[in-house]
Amino acid sequence: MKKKAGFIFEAVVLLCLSFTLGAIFWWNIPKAEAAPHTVSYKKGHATWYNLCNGHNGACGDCDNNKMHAAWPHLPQTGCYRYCSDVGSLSCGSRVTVSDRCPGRFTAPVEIHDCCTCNGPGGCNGQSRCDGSIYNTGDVIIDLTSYAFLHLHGNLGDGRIPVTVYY
Amino acid sequence: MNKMNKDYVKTHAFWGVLVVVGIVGGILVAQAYAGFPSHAADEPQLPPINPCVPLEKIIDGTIIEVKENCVVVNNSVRGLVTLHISPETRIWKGKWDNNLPIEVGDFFYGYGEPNEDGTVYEMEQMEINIVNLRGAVVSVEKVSEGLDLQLEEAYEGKSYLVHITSETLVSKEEQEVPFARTQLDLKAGDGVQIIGLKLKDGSVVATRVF
Repeated sequence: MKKKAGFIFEAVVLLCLSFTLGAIFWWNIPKAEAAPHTVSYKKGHATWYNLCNGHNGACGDCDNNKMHAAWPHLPQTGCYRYCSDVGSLSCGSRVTVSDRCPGRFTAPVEIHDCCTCNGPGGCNGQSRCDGSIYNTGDVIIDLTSYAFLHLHGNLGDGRIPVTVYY
Repeated sequence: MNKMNKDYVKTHAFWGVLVVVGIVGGILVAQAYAGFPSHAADEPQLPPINPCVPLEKIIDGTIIEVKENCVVVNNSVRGLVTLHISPETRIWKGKWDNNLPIEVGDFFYGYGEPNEDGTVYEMEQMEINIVNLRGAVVSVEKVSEGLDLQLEEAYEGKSYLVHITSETLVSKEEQEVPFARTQLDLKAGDGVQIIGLKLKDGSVVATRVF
């Protein structure tokens, strides 16, 4: 009986030691650097415009009939038209725009133009949700009428609160 | 193999298996623990795609023919498209459902249910001759119905004549007030955003001033 208990004790101790050894071994294996999982985002306002004809805009290919948008910080086109700092993007960058009005719709758009967001009427204005004033802020993205309708459902609000993920 | 050798092999095999099981168990547990997100709540989460209006329902264009209960429009992608308009169709032309007639030459943005080949739409909503201008005020003139502004649009630098009428909604401290019941202190150089109805002469009746 005593011999059996001693055997079990030895087995458990060995199991624990080898378990610990295994864990230490795994933690010390050099691992490949994990890709960053963070998403940058900026809160502000989105408006709409319809000046794109498929061959114009800062990137030369902005199209009213596509999910295109204008962003105020595109260094490759010399565009620095933001009210407060926004992330730098390039032509063709894909961003996700989330409407902060009730309903919280979300849609992806591609950047194909420079937003004159810091121009007259762009900074420190008021956004609307279904005709009611929502908040005060800066325009950070201009959507084609097509993209604005897809995201928000009407153009009459004109300026809506959004979060842009990029 | 004699009995003593057999016992020796059995005993050592047992301890060997025990060590291997322990090491593998340790690796698996460490791996599982490392896989748990430790600070996911701090990171911004990308919301799922969830648009308000499906892309295939959206249509815009210029009205080229007006018939009873339907209009024919020219769309830059689809060409000629027939839009069926019912009493349930929401129509904005300066305001919602104000019964202003739809006319040849009007432009619109809207959505509805398309047929299979996208040549006919049962319209749910249309916004007609709507414009969104952001720019600087060049001049302000008082007129009998309100104010007339010359506005230089920010993108193209194009100049627009904008009529502020008694019904124009003006943003005043977190609420909107018709121009008839408030003051609008605009002067040259001020920046404004305007949602309005474009008239045939190219001028714009402001429905909202931001």
